[in-house]
Amino acid sequence: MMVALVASAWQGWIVLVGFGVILITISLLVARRFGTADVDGLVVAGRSLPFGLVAAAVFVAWVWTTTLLGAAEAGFWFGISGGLNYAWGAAFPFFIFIPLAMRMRRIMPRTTTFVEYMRERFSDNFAKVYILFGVALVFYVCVEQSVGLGYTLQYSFGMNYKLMAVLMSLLFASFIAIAGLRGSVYNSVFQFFVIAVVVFVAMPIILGKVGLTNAYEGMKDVAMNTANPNHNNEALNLFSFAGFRYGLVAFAVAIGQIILSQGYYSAALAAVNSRTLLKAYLVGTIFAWIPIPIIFGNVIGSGALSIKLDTEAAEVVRTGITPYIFSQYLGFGGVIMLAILVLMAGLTTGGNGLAGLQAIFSVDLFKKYIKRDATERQQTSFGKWMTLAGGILIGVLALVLEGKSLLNIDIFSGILFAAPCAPLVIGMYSKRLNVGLSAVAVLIGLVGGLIAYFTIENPDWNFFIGNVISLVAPFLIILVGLPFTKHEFDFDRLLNYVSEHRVVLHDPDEAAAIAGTTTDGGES
Amino acid sequence: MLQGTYMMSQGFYGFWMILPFFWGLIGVGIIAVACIRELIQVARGHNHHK
Repeated sequence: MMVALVASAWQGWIVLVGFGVILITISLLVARRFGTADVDGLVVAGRSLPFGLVAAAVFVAWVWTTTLLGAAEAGFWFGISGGLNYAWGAAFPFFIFIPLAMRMRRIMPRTTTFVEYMRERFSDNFAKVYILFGVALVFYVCVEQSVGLGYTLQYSFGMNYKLMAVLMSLLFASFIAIAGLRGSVYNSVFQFFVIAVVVFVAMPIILGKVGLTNAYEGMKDVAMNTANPNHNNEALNLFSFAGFRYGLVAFAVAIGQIILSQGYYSAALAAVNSRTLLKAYLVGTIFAWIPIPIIFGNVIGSGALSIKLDTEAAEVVRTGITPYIFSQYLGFGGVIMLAILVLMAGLTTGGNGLAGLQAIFSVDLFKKYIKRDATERQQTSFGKWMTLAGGILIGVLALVLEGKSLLNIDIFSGILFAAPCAPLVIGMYSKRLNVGLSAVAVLIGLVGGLIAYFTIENPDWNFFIGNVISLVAPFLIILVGLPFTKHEFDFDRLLNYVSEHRVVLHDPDEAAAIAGTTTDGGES
Repeated sequence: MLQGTYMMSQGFYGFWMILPFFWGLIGVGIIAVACIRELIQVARGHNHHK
């Protein structure tokens, strides 16, 4: 057994300080150039971003550490179908989100957060529940990134997990606090180029070293040889059932992470018009993002299976499959490249999450519930400080989770965040949906999902059924209940909604839909 | 061959291993070109509607 290479801590510090300085510098330059005193400028980049910047931001925000490491493991466990199933499962929710975001822009052009929409469409109290879901989602996403980054830096460079987890949280909190969503987007562009270069340089080299014929023969042995330690007779079946079920679980987990993530609404509203939004999200996901997990699933999965990787070997258990393969095929350079890749993936996803948190704190919490007469400067200042406080809390939570499996958190996050999707989605289209039916549907979905998880004993099915119930039950309950409600929501209320901060619309279609293009909120 | 085992041919396997690289390069390439163009505009003082 060859030993996986590990770089030294000082080399890790060079990488960290180098990238940290670049990211903070970009944020400082963006803040100086564009300013961050107005709420719309801070949280939705003045609703003026062009196609490329939005597409790059969407692409990197959805490249999680699990997109790389999780898809690779799926390729190992499910064979050739693993990467594909991870990809469609995690990308499909965007085909629900994209029309949703476009509809939100059309029916409520002056909204900034999905919480504002929930407040106007349903009620203040129901919106408060969605604030809790939105904030909890950000913490879940960001803590996962911090834990992933802490472990990566620990096994790649032998650095201290505790220090790294806290430092990484503070790093992504800092560049969001300094320059808001615009800072996150410009940093994303830099990270987009780094991720693209590493993926499209490292992965073809690994594939070349494994060799297509060798990889195929290895996979064939896995499929046919029952004595192979990783025997899976569906290893070369692109449509394997186990792989497809894995894709369904990926979908059920991902949908809440997208539909309830303010970061994605912020990026969608930041696009200069709806056509730009559509183009950026389609290119960012279908053309750029989907191939990434397929590449990782295919290349790392085939690479590991073709060498009959023993997943119980101490070295593989210590590092994980992907770092082991990177170090085996690319040596020291591979360790560094993978560390940079994971660093960029984690920082961008954490940054996007915190940009959403900043929007919720600035727009929905401070002026609504804490200081009614707050100026925009006070709102943005509060949002920035809360972003930093959020970063510290995320670091602390990552410390608490050291050594603990994140699997249970993933299971609960899937069940927790799938249930509230239905009212948000159906409420955009149906005027009959009311708060009562929505609340009952979410509650039943959530409780039903948890009961299924705890009562079904088969570990292969309890997580899957729990997630499906949590996601599907609220949709069914609402659709069945709609004909019985007498509620008639007036969508003009959303169209005429005036935000409490100054909003300038650049989309002529949205501007034409409402009277005038500029609205002055609480502070004019 | 084991009963119930379906296996893609070597030719299709090779195609499926290579395809995502070209697919991804197209997507990443489109975004990269647009980003570079937009960054040049910003560097020249254009503020994208600010």
